Amino acid sequence: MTTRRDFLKISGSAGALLATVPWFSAFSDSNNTIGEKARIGVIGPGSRGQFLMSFMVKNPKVEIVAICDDYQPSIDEALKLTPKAKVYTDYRKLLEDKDVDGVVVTVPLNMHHEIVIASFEAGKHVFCEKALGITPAECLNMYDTHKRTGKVFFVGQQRLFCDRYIEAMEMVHAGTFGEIEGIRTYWFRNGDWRRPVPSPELERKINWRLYKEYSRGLMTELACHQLQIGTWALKSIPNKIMGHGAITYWKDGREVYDNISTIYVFDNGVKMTFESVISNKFYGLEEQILGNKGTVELEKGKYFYETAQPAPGFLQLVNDVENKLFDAIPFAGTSWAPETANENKGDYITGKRPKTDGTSVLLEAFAEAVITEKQPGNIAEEGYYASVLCLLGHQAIEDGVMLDFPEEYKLDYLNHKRAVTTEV
Amino acid sequence: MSVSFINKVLDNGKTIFYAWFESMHTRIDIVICNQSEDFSKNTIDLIYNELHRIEQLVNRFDPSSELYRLNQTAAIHPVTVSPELFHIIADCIDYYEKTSGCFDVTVNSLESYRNGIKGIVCDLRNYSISYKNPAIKIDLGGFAKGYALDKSIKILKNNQMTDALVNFGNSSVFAIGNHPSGCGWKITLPTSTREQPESVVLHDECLTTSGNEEAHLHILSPFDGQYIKAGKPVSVVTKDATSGEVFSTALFVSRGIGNE
Repeated sequence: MTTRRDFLKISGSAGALLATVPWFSAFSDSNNTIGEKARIGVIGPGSRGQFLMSFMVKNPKVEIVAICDDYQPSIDEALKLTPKAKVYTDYRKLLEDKDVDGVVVTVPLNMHHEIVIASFEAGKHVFCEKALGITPAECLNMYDTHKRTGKVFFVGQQRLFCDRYIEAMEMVHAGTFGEIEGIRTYWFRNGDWRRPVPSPELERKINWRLYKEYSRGLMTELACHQLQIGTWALKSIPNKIMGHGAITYWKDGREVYDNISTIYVFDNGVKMTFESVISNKFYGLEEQILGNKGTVELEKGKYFYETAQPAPGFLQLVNDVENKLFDAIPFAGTSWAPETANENKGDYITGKRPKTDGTSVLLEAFAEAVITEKQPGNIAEEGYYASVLCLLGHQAIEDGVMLDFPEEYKLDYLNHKRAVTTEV
Repeated sequence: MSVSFINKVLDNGKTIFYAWFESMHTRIDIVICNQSEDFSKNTIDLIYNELHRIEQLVNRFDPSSELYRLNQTAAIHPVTVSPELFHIIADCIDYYEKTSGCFDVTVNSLESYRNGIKGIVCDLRNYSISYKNPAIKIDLGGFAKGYALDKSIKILKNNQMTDALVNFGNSSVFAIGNHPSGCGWKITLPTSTREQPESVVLHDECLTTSGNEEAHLHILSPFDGQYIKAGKPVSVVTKDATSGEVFSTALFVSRGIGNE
């Protein structure tokens, strides 16, 4: 398991780390919260909820005190993870429970808004799975309610807490790959994206991702993770959005597209694309950052230089210096031969093959924030924009136009200024 | 220009700057300590340009280089060359004598022509050079790297870089000043193994290694024109890179012909 200590060792200094990941301020009191517990209620412990619970039950700073669902099979499975948790079937009752400090919301997308707003109003801290809302207006209302109530607000963007993403962004921000000229993201699968349904009347309840009433399909379920990468890398929000979507293969009664392509344009003309086809999986999923001096492939955890590669022995030396070590540098030998350097296999960002995706660290950070009741830097804003960008992509597809980022959904963040609203 | 770099600011405010690029058919790695990023980058630019200039002087394959012109016409009539190329070749002749013929820049002459170096006539009065036989060809490949490394070190020192490490294709490593956490720079020797780790500490010195590997035979014996068989490489530590290049090559050649 990746721990915060690993990050500090990699990065060399906590100050440098916080410049790239302000949300790591969540851990700044972690030595003082030992022995304390974040008392969590899980609303909607289905497959995703149980996945998150599997990390939380291992964290000594978390106690899952309550779960809530209106689907008994999910409750049965969740209780196997937390046998002592109180069981609710109405989330409003769970929110009245004084033993609950914070909630983890993993319900279908169309229910996020109502539950998250009610949770804030009930004085609970909130972790909401992405995407935040089903419209930009819902997302803004959730964000504003978080600000007004002062309660902690996390969105399930686990890549923000993943070691290789963080190290890669440090390198991107340091100019290691030169000027960033493009961001390409894609998520390809070959499958119908359906879950087994025990009886036909449960179709929409279980396969809610396929229906527009509950979901925006590939944009809210997949694009959300990947579009956030561009904002993080470029420290800017794209202001022009266009796209196209269609159902080209899985014509099985679903309403959401199985074939999508969107383009997001940053102010300097650099573009970020998101593409998803779920009837071919050859290219899998990837986020690629293209600089004039190098390329990063974040899912594979690799980077590639356009010309000569950095020498492993020298990267070791830089690492030694950061860790104040004086060790022998291994590279001397007979002449380097260019013919052996032709194939560009790239290097692992963290020096090793990726293992984790950041989910456990993300949940540890949420637990710390619930205990300290302090909102870590930028995490709500990054989550907000990831969701709004995927929803605007959806809107651009539906309207068949190139959208300008609407003024009313801008926050005071990065290149955005919040529109002045006049009281009526 | 395709120089890549990493600049890290440590929590004690010190910095480490690492730049790398390809030049002169090899890879160059340069580490600079405790300078601003801009100043480090500017100094690397100076070195990059200097190496490009040297390459244009000594690349025997490039029809626009001075050495190419010399190799083409010096057997027909004396060729006036730049003082820089003149002194490089004069030094090479000098090193030939000092190494009893083990270091020979004419080893790549045509038709297995041997001892071509004795057929080079240098006239200091007008910086002209002539060859006594058209088969004679000068190849500065084994010399230029050391020469260019010394020029690079000079640029670093002229720019007040007190702590730096420069690697030319792994076979020549020059260290000036100190590693940020130690005294000098500790380099693992090429002959080091996991069982028997061996390293050397360099302080204003150069570690040069010569050898032929099975997959990369490149050093020829001046005595028979054949590749010297692969074997344990030879490393030398010298005060300058040029003599390191010469003596490591000469020692490898001398051992290869059973003259250890």
